[in-house]
Amino acid sequence: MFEARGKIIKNQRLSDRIFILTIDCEVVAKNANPGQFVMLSPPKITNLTLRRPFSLYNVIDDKQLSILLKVAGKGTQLLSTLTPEIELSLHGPLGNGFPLPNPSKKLLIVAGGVGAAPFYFFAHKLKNNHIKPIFLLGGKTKNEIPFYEDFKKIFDSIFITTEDGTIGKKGMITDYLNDFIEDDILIYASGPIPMLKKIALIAEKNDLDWFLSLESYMACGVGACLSCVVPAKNEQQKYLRCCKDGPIFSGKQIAWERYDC
Amino acid sequence: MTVEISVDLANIHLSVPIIAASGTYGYGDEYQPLLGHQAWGAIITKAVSLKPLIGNPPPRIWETPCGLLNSIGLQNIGIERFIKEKCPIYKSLNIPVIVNFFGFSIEEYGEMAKLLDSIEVIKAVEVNISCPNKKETGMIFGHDPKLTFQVTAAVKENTNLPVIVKLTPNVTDIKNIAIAAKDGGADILSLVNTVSGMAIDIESGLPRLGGITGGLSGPAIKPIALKMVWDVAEVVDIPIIGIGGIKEGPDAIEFFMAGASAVQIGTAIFSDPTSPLKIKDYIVEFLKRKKMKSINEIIGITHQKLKEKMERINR
Ligand SMILES: Cc1cc2nc3c(=O)[nH]c(=O)nc-3n(C[C@H](O)[C@H](O)[C@H](O)COP(=O)(O)OP(=O)(O)OC[C@H]3O[C@@H](n4cnc5c(N)ncnc54)[C@H](O)[C@@H]3O)c2cc1C
Ligand SMILES: Cc1cc2nc3c(=O)[nH]c(=O)nc-3n(C[C@H](O)[C@H](O)[C@H](O)COP(=O)(O)O)c2cc1C
Ligand code: FES
Repeated sequence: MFEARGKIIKNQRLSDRIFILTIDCEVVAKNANPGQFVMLSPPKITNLTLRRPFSLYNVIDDKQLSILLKVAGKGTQLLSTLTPEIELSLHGPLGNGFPLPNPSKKLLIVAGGVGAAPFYFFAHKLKNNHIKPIFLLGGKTKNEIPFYEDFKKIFDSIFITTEDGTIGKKGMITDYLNDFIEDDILIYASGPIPMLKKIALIAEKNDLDWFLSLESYMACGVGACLSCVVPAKNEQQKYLRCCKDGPIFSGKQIAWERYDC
Repeated sequence: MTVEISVDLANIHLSVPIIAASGTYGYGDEYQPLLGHQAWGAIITKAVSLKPLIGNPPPRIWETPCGLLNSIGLQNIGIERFIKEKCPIYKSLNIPVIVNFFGFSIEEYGEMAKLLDSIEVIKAVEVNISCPNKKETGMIFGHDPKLTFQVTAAVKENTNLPVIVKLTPNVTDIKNIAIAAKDGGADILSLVNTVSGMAIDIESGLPRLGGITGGLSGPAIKPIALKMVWDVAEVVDIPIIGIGGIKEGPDAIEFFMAGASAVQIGTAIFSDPTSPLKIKDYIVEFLKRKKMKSINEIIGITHQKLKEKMERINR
C-alpha cells in the first residue's frame, strides 16, 4: 500500500447519482488487485474527518484507476463535483482482494447496485484465466445501475433485474437466484447487506461456497484502529477487520445472525 | 541556521516532539508500509490489558463535523500475545515504543506494570486511566483524584520505566486529577483522552454507535484539550504531552505554547497519514521564522507572555 497523490483525469456522469471517476495514480494502479479498495480524501474541505473507501472499478494501463461512485452523503457529493486536473490524496491498494476462483467450478457473480464495482476490474482477471461467469446485476431502477452497459461488454452471460422493471426482469436479484443454483456452483457477491444476508441463506441451504465484498465504516483502512469490525463466525476472534482481513470474505467467516448494521 | 526540535522527557529522548497517539496507530506494524516510522519521535501502542478483550459491537465510529466518535471498547489482544507477537517487531525500530495499558482494578494496573517492566524494547508506559474500576464501584479511575493517585502509585511501584499518566477530559476539575497523578509518582502527564459524546440516528431512533456512547476526537475537541493543557501547566512542573485535535502545524504550536513539551497525533492521521511529517516541517519553519534556536523557547511561552502583559497593564 502507498500514500499517494492522484490527479483527476475524467469525471463521467452516468446518471443522477452515479459517476465514474478516473484518477491518474501509478503507484496505486500498478499494485492493485481486483477486490481491493482505496481511501480517498475529498480535497478542499476541512470539516470531514475521514477519507472515504472505494472499490477499484478498473485499472487502466497500470497507470490510472477508476472508481464507480454513488452519491450517498457529503463526501461522495464532493467527490462527484471534481473536475480534471484537480489533485487529491489517497492511500491504497488496501485489503485482500478476490481469490481466484477454482476453474473447475461454475462461477456465479451476484451484484447489487454500485456493489458491482469490484467485478468490473475482476472481469479482466477472470478473462485472462479463461473463467466465464454468469453475472447477475440488480438495482432499484435503471438509473441506479447505468453502468450495466459496461458490464454487458465484458460478461457474455448477464442477467439484470430492477425493482421497478425499468430494465431487465422486475424484482430483486435474489428473487431469481434459485434459478441459477446448481450443484458445485461458486458464488461471488457484492451489494447491500440485505442482499448478502439472503445469499447467505441460499448458500447455506445448498451447501455452497461463496465469497463476498463487505462494506463498513472505516477510519484508517490499514487494520490499525479497529473501527471497521464485522462479526466473525469463529468465536475466538469474535470480530474481523473489514479493511484488513477483508473486504473480501468467505461467506462462512461471517456471523450473519449477529450482523445488524 | 539549524533549529533543535528534539526534547527529553524523563529519560525518553524524542528526536521529534511528535508521538503517535494510542489506538489510532494500532500496534505500530499496520501503518509501517504506508509511512515508515521516520515521521514520529515515538509511537504509543493501542491499549493493552491483562486479558484479551473483544471490544464493542459495531458500528464503532461515527463521523461528526470536524470530529470522530468512537466506541472501540478497548478491543486488544491481551498482554501475552502482545509480548509474543508485537514486541519482537519493536527490536528493529529505532524510535521509542511506549505501551498504553489499563486494568480493571488497582492490582491489575500494578501487575501490568510489572509485566511490561521486564521487556527491553519498551521505553515507557502510558497509563490509560479512562476505564472503570470493575472490582469496586465501577467508577472511572481518572474521574477521581484518589483513584488516580492509587493507580499511579501502584504502577510506579512496579516499574522502573518512565510513567506517563493519560488524563481523561471528562472531569469537573482536571487540575486536581493532574496533581493527584503527579503526587502518585507520574513522571509525565499526557492529556487529553477522548471527550465523551453520542449520536442518534433519527430515522431508527437508535444510537449511532454499537457501544451506545463513545469518545469524541479530532479538531472538534482541540479548544477543550488546549485549555486543559493550559490549566494543568499552571499546577504541575512535570512534562506534559498535549493531545486532542491536532491536525496541522499551528495546532501543535498552540499546544507547545500552552505548556506541552511534546504532542500526540491521533485522528489526523486518518485523513492524512503524512500529517506528522507536515507538522514537523511546520514547527521547524515556524521556529526559523521566529529566529529561535530550539523548541524549548516556545514551550509554555503563553503563560510567560500573559504574565508580562498583565504586568505592563498593571504598571
Ligand atoms: C471496502 C468498501 C468499498 C466501497 N466501494 C464503493 C464503491 O465502489 N462505490 C461507491 O459508491 N461506494 C463504495 N463504498 C461506500 C462508500 O465508501 C460510502 O458511500 C461513502 O463512504 C459515503 O461517504 P459520504 O461522505 O458520501 O456519506 P456520509 O453518510 O456523509 O458519510 C459519513 C461517514 O460514514 C461513512 N460511510 C457512509 N456510508 C458508508 C458505506 N456504505 N460504507 C462505508 N462507509 C460509509 C463515510 O465514509 C463517512 O465516514 C465502499 C465502502 C467500502 C467500505
Ligand atoms: C479509534 C480510536 C481509538 C483510540 N484508542 C485509545 C486507546 O486504546 N487508549 C487510549 O489511551 N486512547 C485511545 N484513543 C484516544 C487517542 O489516543 C487520543 O487521546 C484522542 O483521540 C484525542 O486525540 P486526537 O484528536 O488527535 O485523535 C483512541 C482514539 C481513537 C480515535
Ligand atoms: S478501518 Fe481501521 S482497522 Fe479497519
